[in-house]
Amino acid sequence: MALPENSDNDLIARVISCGDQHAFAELVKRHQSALRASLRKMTNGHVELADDVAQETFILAWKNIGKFRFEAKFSTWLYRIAFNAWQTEVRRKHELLLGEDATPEAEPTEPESTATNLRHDLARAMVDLSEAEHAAIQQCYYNDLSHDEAAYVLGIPLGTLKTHILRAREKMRQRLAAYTDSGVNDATLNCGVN
Amino acid sequence: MNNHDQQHVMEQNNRLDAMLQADSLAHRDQYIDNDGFSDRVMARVAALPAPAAFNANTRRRLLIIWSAALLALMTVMTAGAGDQFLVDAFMDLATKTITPNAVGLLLIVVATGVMGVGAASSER
Repeated sequence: MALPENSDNDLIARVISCGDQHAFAELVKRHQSALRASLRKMTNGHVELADDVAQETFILAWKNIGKFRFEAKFSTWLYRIAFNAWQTEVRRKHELLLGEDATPEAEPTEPESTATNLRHDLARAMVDLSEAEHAAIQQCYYNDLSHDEAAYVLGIPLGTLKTHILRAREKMRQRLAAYTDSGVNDATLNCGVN
Repeated sequence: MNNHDQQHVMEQNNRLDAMLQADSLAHRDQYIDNDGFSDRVMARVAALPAPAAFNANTRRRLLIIWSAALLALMTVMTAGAGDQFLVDAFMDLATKTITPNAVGLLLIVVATGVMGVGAASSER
């Protein structure tokens, strides 16, 4: 049953008050794409692993929805659960995720353009970041969260988050100096997107 | 670092920001097709019990608060004489007279305080 007119909070209230599975299914449909995309980025392109963690995230959301306080957005709350689930997974499968075992998502085989190279270097520059710096950049830029929301998702103080962002940006700036010096801008980057 | 260097770093930072914004925008614009994902989630959800409206901590806090209220009510009903209990108790305390009413009121204050502290610490 489609419930397009209901806000996330209406649906959550129905799940909490009477365990409405249809309402929860609607929440899953609404948020699955953004959450899976975020986890694919977090897992460096492990599609299956990202989907497993996404599934676990929704199961945990179902079990713990009584703890949802309606203070944060549902999506932000989901990102927090997903980040914790991912951390648990990292600890469990640490050896699998180290180094070369990663099987990144297949990149489209387009001719090597400046934009493509730039995105590859951007991705590589992010891999060079520490786990905490990577997570901070991921939440603030790729999940489009405010600093407050990102600090909540990562479970760290706001000041620590800002430090991670500053350090990450400095590392990336140095790594990408070749591009930033040559004046490649977002317009060039977008040429390779579509 | 001189002014020229500072300006150079600032320009690099602006370009990096633009690159990150553009790349993240492209990332957010991609839609991942459901492709049975939500069905798989709901198949697992169906096997689980309905979520509890209150989590364990909230249940504990509610239990403490209700227990405190019940204790207070029982004290009033048994130790005092109806709605005169509080008046009598305060009067007794003001005149430093130890009576069942005064002791009852002190007990209620202490018990409520202890339970309040318990409720507050169960939040953490």
